[in-house]
Amino acid sequence: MQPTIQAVNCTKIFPGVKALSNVSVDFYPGEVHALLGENGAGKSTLIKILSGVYTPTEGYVVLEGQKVEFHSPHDAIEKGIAVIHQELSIANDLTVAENIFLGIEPKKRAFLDREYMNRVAQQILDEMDVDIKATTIARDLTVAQQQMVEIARVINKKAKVVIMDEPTSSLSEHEIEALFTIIEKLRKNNVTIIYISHRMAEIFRICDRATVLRDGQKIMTKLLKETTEAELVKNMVGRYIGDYYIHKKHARGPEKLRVEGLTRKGEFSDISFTAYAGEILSFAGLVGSGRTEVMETVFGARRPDSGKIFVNGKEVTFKSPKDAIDAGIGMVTEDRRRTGLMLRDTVLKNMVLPSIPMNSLRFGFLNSVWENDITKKMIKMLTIKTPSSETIVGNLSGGNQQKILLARWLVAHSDILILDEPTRGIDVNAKSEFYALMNDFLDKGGCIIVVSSEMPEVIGISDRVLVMREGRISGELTGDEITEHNIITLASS
Amino acid sequence: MGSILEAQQLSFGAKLKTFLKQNIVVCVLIVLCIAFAIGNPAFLKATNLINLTTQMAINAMLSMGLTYVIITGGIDISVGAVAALAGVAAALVCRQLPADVSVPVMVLVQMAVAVCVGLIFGAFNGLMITRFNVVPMIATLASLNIGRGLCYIFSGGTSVSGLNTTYSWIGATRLIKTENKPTGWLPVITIVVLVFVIIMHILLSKTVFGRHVYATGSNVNVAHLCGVNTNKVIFLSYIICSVMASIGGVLNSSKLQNGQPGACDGYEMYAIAATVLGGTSLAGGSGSVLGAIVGCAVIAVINNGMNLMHVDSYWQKAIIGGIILLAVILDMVQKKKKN
Repeated sequence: MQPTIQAVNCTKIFPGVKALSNVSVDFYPGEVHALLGENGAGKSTLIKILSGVYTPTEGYVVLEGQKVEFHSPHDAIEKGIAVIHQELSIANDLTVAENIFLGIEPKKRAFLDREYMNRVAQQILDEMDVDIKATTIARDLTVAQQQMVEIARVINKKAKVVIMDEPTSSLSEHEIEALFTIIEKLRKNNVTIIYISHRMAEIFRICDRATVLRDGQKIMTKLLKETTEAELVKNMVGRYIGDYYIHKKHARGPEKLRVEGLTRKGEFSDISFTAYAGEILSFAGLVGSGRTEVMETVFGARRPDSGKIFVNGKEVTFKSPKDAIDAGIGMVTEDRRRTGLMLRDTVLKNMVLPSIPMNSLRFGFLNSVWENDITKKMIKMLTIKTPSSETIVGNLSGGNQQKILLARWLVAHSDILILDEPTRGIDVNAKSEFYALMNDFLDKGGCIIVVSSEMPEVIGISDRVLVMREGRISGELTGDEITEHNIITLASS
Repeated sequence: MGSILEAQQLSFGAKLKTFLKQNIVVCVLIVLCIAFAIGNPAFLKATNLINLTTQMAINAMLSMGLTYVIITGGIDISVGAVAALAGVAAALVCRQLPADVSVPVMVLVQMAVAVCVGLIFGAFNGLMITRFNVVPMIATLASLNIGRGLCYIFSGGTSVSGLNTTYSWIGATRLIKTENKPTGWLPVITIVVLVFVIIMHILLSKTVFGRHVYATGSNVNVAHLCGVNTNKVIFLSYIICSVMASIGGVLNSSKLQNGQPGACDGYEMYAIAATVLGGTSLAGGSGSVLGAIVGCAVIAVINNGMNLMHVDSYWQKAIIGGIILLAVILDMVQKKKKN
């Protein structure tokens, strides 16, 4: 069989960095091909070469047996190569149909043929078996639905190659199932799917073959039937990693945070829980079940309609995150690029931001000696891989960015940490390091509240799990009760 | 990671290249100075260079304050009108002062009026933007028109003149009088601006407030979630901007010895141009006071140089526009390359 698309001896050199070196991979029609590797292994460089964003320094791309040269991403799209990025490219104010036909709008004489557009869009959506109306404004859709719209766009363009970059990272279990059904359909239509994900279970479920990259080189390509998770992980990181969910049992300490009857109309109601020192309390549930909203309210970023919050047994009212920070709470948000980091600023500025008022000199002058010392100390302590404390954080890998966010609250001496999707989009090695750091924090008497949609993570690291459904807590699980089955039952039904 | 470290160890030539790229406006300034010096040797004379500092003084005041606002991610196009109103108000108030008023009292009254006008307009802009979520461009467009309108209402449409000579002390006097220069060498206005440059630079780069200004502009959500009272920071930035503009306007009216309702017309554009030339990004999050001053210098040098070379004043405006555009495009190209 002829491969749909091939990378042939591709090398890409950036000033000072060899991002990809002599990589050749063949992708066949009707196969779902996983691309694996840690952040910085060269996955995104390879994808960008295949989709026309980069021109390889050496080597070339072959499309259906023909050597091709893409001059721009647009060029690649015209030739049937589509990329669905982690960050969705949906125009919020346009309708679903308009989004599906973006850039290829049908015309009737000089005017937009809206009727045709809506009809065809609806047809595609119905075929995909998703419950979305073509005339809905995209803003009103959930993230999962928006992703479906992007896939519909790809189907409409009759793409031969679909590249999916972490497509499940913001989907709930239920929505992931829907996505897999659609991937199956695409596969049956002989579309080539290149699938990037850090979630091993998924890869074994839907992919046929996997290619592992490490440090810009191809390590292996194998049928998934003939390999194991351990082998893949070993090849990704260059060494064997056992169980990377590190979970040390700690003695439950005193009560740190208690929430009683917290309610915000339309978002969540009657939320009560207690979190103790030395434990990881996880919030599981579907995306949209109100977990993030609860956490943001506890952190003072939203005001509750009713309910009480107690820190160390004392009732508190947070008017803004500043009050929560002063009370010893730190929060790592789910979207580090949008609400976590100042991407164009330095490691130092990102790390000390919440703590500079309490560490300033007289008259509000910055204490630059302290800033430099504490940043260097944290870089060393958390083994953050950065050339210096003056490096722009946007240039660092996801794992290191996440460590900087953790360091931010360690600098601020927070003893209650809220971690919303703490390991989203970071690789296995970085995950395992991050869990170890969480354990260190617990050792020192801290209290961690985790919101996670990654089932193995919830099961692997939690002492206790609260499951939320439609804005309410539907159940609590401890010890052996924490199983995938129990969580799903409480989260859906 | 090793490869990133390698990339940092650049040769001296490459380092010089990055320095030039990052300080492109300073280079432009130097090249301009050389060009004008060749065109007319009078350009580099001490007298001319000192004149230059007085010519850029008003714009420096406006653009320093504006730098704060632009770093928070906002914009203030009312600075010209606010400056004019402060000038008219100061002239009206100071006309009531007795004829034998001393210089310190005069300066105190002038500054008090400037601060009042600045506080009122800064608070108005800040409130509109933080409380009522009006887009900064529209909020300050409104205060531009209100400010300009009040100028004509208060002054009755004509220049407020007949002022005591001490009125022009801060804006037009020179110190260190010598035999060959009986009018004096060192302009008071230059000292005043210099003092403000130091204060504004330190406030922005060395204090918690300054850091919060950058954080707010860099990512308002992140700043808020890190305990920064972003609304307060934005509010104070507009206050600083209007107060600086008002002081600039009073200096201008002192220099002219009257309060003109039509003064400082279009100065907001020069101030925005100087700020952007100085490397402050209109997207917010980066920039500096010193950069803005270099930007002011570039504009002043172009104006001054063209005067010396007898370029028609109508052409001057068009040429300045072109040069600003060129500088900004150069800047954008550099930034794009970095990405």
